[in-house]
Amino acid sequence: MNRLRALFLLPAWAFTLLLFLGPLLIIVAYSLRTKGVYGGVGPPWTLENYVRLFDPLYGVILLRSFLMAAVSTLGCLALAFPLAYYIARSGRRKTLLLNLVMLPFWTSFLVRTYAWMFLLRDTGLINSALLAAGLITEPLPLLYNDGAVIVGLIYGYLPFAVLPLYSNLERLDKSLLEAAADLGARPWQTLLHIVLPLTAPGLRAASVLVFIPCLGAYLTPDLLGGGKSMMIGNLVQNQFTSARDWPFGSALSLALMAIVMLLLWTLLRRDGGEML
Amino acid sequence: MGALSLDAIYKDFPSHRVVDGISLTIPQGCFYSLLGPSGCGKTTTLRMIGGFDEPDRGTIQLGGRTLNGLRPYERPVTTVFQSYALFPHLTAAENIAFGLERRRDPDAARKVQAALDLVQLSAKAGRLPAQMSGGERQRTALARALVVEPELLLLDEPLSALDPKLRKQMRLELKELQSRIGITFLFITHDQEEALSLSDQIAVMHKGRLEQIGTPQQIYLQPATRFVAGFLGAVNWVGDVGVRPELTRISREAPAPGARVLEATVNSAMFLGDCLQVETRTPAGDQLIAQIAHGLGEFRRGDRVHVWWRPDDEMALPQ
Repeated sequence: MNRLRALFLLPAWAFTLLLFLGPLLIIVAYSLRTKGVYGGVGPPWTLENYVRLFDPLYGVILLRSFLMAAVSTLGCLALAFPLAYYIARSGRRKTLLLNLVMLPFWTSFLVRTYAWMFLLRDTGLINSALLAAGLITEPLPLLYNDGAVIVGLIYGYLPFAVLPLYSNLERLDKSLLEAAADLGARPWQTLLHIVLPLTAPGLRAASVLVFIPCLGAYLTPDLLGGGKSMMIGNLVQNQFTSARDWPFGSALSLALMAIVMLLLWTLLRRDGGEML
Repeated sequence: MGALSLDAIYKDFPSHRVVDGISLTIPQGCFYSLLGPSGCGKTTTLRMIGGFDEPDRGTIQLGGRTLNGLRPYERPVTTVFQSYALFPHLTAAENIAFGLERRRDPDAARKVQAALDLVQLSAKAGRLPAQMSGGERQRTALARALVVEPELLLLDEPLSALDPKLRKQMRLELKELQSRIGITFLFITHDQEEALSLSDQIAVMHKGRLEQIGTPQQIYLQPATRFVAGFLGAVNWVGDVGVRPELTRISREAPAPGARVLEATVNSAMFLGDCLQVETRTPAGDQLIAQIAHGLGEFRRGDRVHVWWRPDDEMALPQ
């Protein structure tokens, strides 16, 4: 029986070791090397790449990334909470509504981000409509700025916030809300004192699921920020492409990973590991 | 403070009428039970008084003030829910303080302590609901609803989640508590024993209507309908006349004149601990059960006996 189990687990282990741990070790090795003239890596071994992480220039980009990810996460939670609440309370239509939330996953993220460009650009749908309506005389600068990136990130990761919140709110005993009202709590007091504390695990899970990919995002800032809104993901990408500094790119991505794991560990410890 | 009155209350659910024209008045300070089988509309009636549902027609008044249209948090009424609905993230003391905090009561700390003392939970004040026993949760729910000094307390089968032994003990405590604090209790139950032992007044509900309102004695001894008679306890029916098994006597010899007598054959005799239950059948086919004290004779299957009762003990209820 045990042998059979090992046999079935073998592909998963092989896959993880070869294709996940392997590349990770390569990145660790790269981060300790010196950059080659035309990309790639060469001798000697050095810690120089990690020292460079503390350059204020990169600190600013890291801080910006944190800020953008934090704003996007808050935006996602603000939109997802009422939506999840509504779905959890909508009886037989729950399944349909949940499927609609997942619907965007049926198309490529890249295509959907391009669609946002068509919406936001100077000759895009929004500006054309506003111009045609005579509400503005010049196109609004909707694309290629931080706002566009945040909108894109919120759009992209909203489902990841809705699902954990939904599963939390769905389990929320309706009689608790009635009991709160019965004892004199107005709806907003019930929300503040009962619903929010009881959905804290869902809020934490949603925050992690949105914040982490937002922090490392490079596609959205690249396309909707137009290079003017650089996040740490773009910085990593730059090092591997135009800057041809693979060792520093590796050190950057490992630093990002370390930060994310630290965050996860702090949050998971609090929920006793059952959050996700 | 004042009486609660329901006047011609109707409530329809999509599939059927749940409450079908209920009118009743509950005097202030009364322990009043709404008794009926599940699905009879008693919980819906309670929810309309609490403000969780609105009646389609009819008025609800408390002390002359109309409650219709008021939200639950605007009504001077609190509820002990069937599942208690304690807030799982708050301790016993915090649960009890919840209503006082919403009212910004400056005296909250003292009142919470007094409420904890009232239900003998001072030692468990810091426990979360998950760390409490069923009885402790029940008492917390009771204290939480009482501490805000409602004019009326609604209790939705609050004892049904407890085990039988604890249920009897809580029944005593509940009755004692109500007479001490003098708040009107409206108690919802499907357990006739609970209703009989606790209530000043009982309203028996069936299929959305009231069958009878009266004291426990009136309801049990002078039921207005066959449903009430049958719901409150076992009945031997002989035509239009019913008599309770514990008031039915059985003997080999004919009883003294004046009793109602039927001749019958013993079907079975069962020892129930507190009494002997003898099941008999008359030649006409009526089944009569007598519950008799020990020492009033021994009966075996096939014995020919006289089954009798006093005319005062019979209930005349045409079908």
